[in-house]
This record gives sequence, structure tokens and C-alpha cells, in this order.
Amino acid sequence: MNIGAISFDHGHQNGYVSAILELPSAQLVAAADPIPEQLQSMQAMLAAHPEAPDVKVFSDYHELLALDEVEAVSICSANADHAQMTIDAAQAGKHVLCEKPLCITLEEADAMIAACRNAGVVLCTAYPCRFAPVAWQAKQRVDAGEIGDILAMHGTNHLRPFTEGWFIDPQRSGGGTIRDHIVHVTDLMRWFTGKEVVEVYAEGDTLKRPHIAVDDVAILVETFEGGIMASTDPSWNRPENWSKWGNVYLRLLGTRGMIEFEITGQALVRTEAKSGAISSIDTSESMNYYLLKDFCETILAGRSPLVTGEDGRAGVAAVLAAYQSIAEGRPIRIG
Amino acid sequence: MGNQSVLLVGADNLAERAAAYKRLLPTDAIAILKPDSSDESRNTFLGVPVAHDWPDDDAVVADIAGDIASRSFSARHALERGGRAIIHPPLGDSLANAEAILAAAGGSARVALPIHYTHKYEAAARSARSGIGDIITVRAIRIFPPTQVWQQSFFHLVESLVMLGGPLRRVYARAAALKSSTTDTVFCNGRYANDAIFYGEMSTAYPSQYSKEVIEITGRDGMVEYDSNARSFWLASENGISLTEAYHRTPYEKMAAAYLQAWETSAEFAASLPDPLPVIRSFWAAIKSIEDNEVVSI
Repeated sequence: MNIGAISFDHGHQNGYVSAILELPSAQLVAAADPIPEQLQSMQAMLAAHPEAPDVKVFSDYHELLALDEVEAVSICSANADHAQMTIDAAQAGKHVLCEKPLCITLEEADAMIAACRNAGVVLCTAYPCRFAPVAWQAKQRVDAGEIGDILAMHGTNHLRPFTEGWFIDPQRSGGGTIRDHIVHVTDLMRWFTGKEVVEVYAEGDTLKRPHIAVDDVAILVETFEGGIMASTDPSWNRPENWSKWGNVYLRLLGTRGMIEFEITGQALVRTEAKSGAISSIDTSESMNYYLLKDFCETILAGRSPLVTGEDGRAGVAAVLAAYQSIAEGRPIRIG
Repeated sequence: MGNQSVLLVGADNLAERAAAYKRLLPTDAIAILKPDSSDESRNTFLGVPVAHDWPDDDAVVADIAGDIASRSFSARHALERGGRAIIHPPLGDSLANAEAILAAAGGSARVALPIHYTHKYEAAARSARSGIGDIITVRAIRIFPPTQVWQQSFFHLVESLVMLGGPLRRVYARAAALKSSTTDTVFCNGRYANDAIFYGEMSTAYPSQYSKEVIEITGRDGMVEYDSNARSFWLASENGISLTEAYHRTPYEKMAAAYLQAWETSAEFAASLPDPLPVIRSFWAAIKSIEDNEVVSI
């Protein structure tokens, strides 16, 4: 599977490139970004790779889409560009792995899904948390009935605050911590329960860094189909020297038991005496690797991906309900 | 200690409460008022005499639990006799009732509303007061074994939120009876008076071997966090894994000691809320939110 990487606005593209370089079934053949500096990490990875592929580089992604050898693309632009890039890629006959959140509006999501369906290409939303080993094992145990039917859930996805770049530009990001983070937790909750969110009450604000133009703290209380209770803390409220990354955590209460896990919980902690820096090094298997593996196998086998465009759309619906709840100060029904 | 007895009213956590007072008072200075109406043939419980009628003591010192309606009745009974009452929350069965009890007691000197696990929450709140900047979010999660009165557990959650972040401005709450016939789980979120955002979760629906207590306060310049499962006492056996906390004295023992000391010295009860009304009002606002599925301002 020959893959082109479109835009490195989101740093996750480097993780996907790393996974592509490791995958026997995938080959990185091209990359496109109008900002040359954003390609430096990819070029460093290629330089260090023992069998580095010959990667064509473009500033305009349309030139990458014009290459016949490109069969699929990974899109990691600012959120506002996801829809147009996906539609362009589909019309060029390329399968699409699109970074989360899928897009800004439900109309965009519908257009992206329709464009890929009409072109006969796969649209996969990049929700790598489903592919984390602990999440995978928890899902297998839930599906085996070990905790019974799920009754209640609590999840988090924390991060240090963004203070610059497109993440805090509402025109390019479509919002802050709610737009960026609840999609991961909401997707895990949907995956584990097989149910959709039907009601959201959200509190959100810009409190960590009051000068930025998007929300940076939030807490949601949600209801899923069947009355399943849920709550999510997606805040960018961690200190700059916080040692963890992501803090994607989920606790599930079932009729016969419970499971809790943190995707990045089992990490090496590194402390430097001179600088005072504390950092964590994830020791688990790469969830990006398995995300890309599923994407490639989906295309080669002609089956549906584990995470679809519709899954991305559901995340966008939850995001929009949360922002509406904040604006109107009341719980919002979805659907 | 004088000759008056401590009257334990209601069967909630009776063993722990009785044991706590027994360590501090002569056995015959404690009585239990009708702990179990189905077993009236018993006249003692853990060696403590069972009373079947309210004593005629001039000054009654009562530790009142049981169902919410009878708590109000017992509280008024004690206060009307000039006594002191430690009343497990919530204080009465309505906001008006709670305010009436406080008014009848002439303030908080004769009514004590015990705070749970004071040391932990006070330490977290104290730690957050300096060095982490203005508070922006608070999360408090309390997952414990079932109690007879869910409102008591939920009140302690609200009390924790107020202790950690200050008075609440608005609240949204959802409750459900997930694994029992009465409410066993409550999720709530909302705003503090200073605009910070809070999340509270109370559940008694988890497997009995699992418990969890989370305190998290984030500020503009740092954070304070506590997770009972990261720092607790673990006991693993063939029957499963038990997570608990290690105490020199249980919270009930500390509460009872503070209460008796306050009784002896006619001082304020140190383990009680000094100003309980903001917590009581927040609690009833959350109850209204549960009933109406709407955001309630406080």
C-alpha cells in the first residue's frame, strides 16, 4: 500500500509516518506540506531508517494527489482543512485516513463520507486509542461478558495547554479542548457500549490561559442510549512540566464488574537532576502501528475499517452538542 | 467525662460508631436507640445497652443517623431538651428543615454536621491555596461500599467539592439506581462562584472489593492530585483484591473524639462544617437538578 502524508500541521502525522515505515504492508511514497520546517521530523526519521524509501516532497498537496502510485493518504492538517482535503483525495481515487476530529460541522462530515462512498474509497477516522493494547484487551473482556452490561463510564484525556499555533485559532481548529479531546473518549465509550450519545451537559471555559481564543477546560456529563451514565474531562489543564502524556483513562461499571485502564499509564518516568525535567516514555506497543495496519488491511481485503467516517461524524456531533450546551446553559439532546 | 450518655440513633454504620464511642467512654455511658426494630429481643449491641425510649436526661448528647425523616425528628428532640446533636448529613429532609434545625440550635454550637475524611480534603485544599495559581478545575470522585442512605454519601461529595474549591454557583446532576433499588450513583458538574469548573461522582454500585477516591485540583500554575488506589493499602488473597486505607484511628473514631471533647469543653465541634449552609444549599440544588434534569443556580 503506497501512502502519501498530507500536512504535518498536527504532530500525530509523525507518529503515523513512523508506523508506515515499520509496516511491511505499507510504503511511504510522498509527503506534502506548504511549510518546509514541518517536514523536518519526517526527514530525520527517513535519515535514520536503514531502508529509507524515496519520498517525493511537495508544498501543494494537489501535486501529491496527482501521483498515480499514491493509493492512500494520511491527512493531518488543521481541523478546518480536513473536509476539503478528504474530498479532493477521494475524487482523486485515494483512500483516506483522516486525523481526528473528522471535521468542524456535520455538513462537512456528510460531504466527506459521501465523497468517499461515491469514489469507492475507504474513509477511516484516526482514533488510535481503540488500538492501544490495554483498550483492546479491555474491549475483548467486555465483549466476553466479564463485566456484564455497561451501566456507567468516566473518562479523561488531559494535556498541557496549547499557547500558540492553529490549535488555539478558532477559525482553523473549530474550538479548543472540547474539539480536540472529547472525541477520543467519546469514541472509546461508543466502541465499548455500542451505543450513541443522546444527551450532553457541558461546562467549558478558557481558564488555564485566559488570553487564548478557545476553550481550555471542560467537563461533560453525558447520557448514552439505554440510559448509560457517562462523564468526560478533556481539559488542557496540566502544568507545563507534567510528566504524563494524554492521560487517556476510562473506567467502566458493568452489571457484573468493572474495568479501568489508562492507555499511557504504564510508562517509564525519566527525571533529570540538572534541568529538573520530568518526562514519561510510553512502553506499550504503538497504537499508531495497529491503526495504520488496520487501515492498510482494510483496503487490501476490501472490508470496512475498524474506525469509520461515521465514527468520526459521531464525535463531531458530540462536540457540537457540548458547545451548544455551554452556549445555552442546558443539557442538549442529540439526534 | 460526666455521667450523661451518648445516644446513638439509627443503624447506619452502627458498629463503627459504637466502637468509636466505646473506646472513649465507659460502656454504660452509651446507649443505642432502637437500632433494629426487627430484633427488639436483643438488649445489647456490641455490649452497648439498647434503649427503647428517648431518655429523660436533661442534656442529651445524640449521634443521629437512620432514615432522613427520623433524623430531623431526633434532632429536634435532642435540641428541645437543651442537648447537643451530631447529625449525619443531610441535615433534615429539605433545605427549610435544615435551616429550621440550625435556627433551633442557635447556630452550629449545638449541632454538628460531621465532615468525612477531613484530613485529606483539608490537606488538598490547603495545598492548593498557594503555588498553583487560581483554581480552574476540581474533580472529586468517591466510590465506596453501599450505605443505607445515599443522600449521606452524596452530601459528603458536595461537602468535598465545597471544601476543595469554595462555594458553588450552579450545578447539574444526574442520578440513577444502577445496581440497587435506590439511587447508587450520581454524576454532577457545574461552576464555583469564582468560575472554576467542578466534577463530582459518587457511586456505591461498584463491586465490593473496589473502592476509589480521587481528589484533583488544577490551577493556572500547577495541580494537586490524590488517588486512593495509587497510595492505598492492598490486600490480595484467593478471594480477590482488597483496596483500603490504613488508619491509626478510623474517621469515626476521630469524629467521636472531637465531638466528646467539644461537649466537655463547650467548644465548637472541630470536625463539623463551621458554616454548613452553603453546603446544604448546594446539596439541595443538586437534588433539584436530579429531579428536574436542569441546571440549578445556587
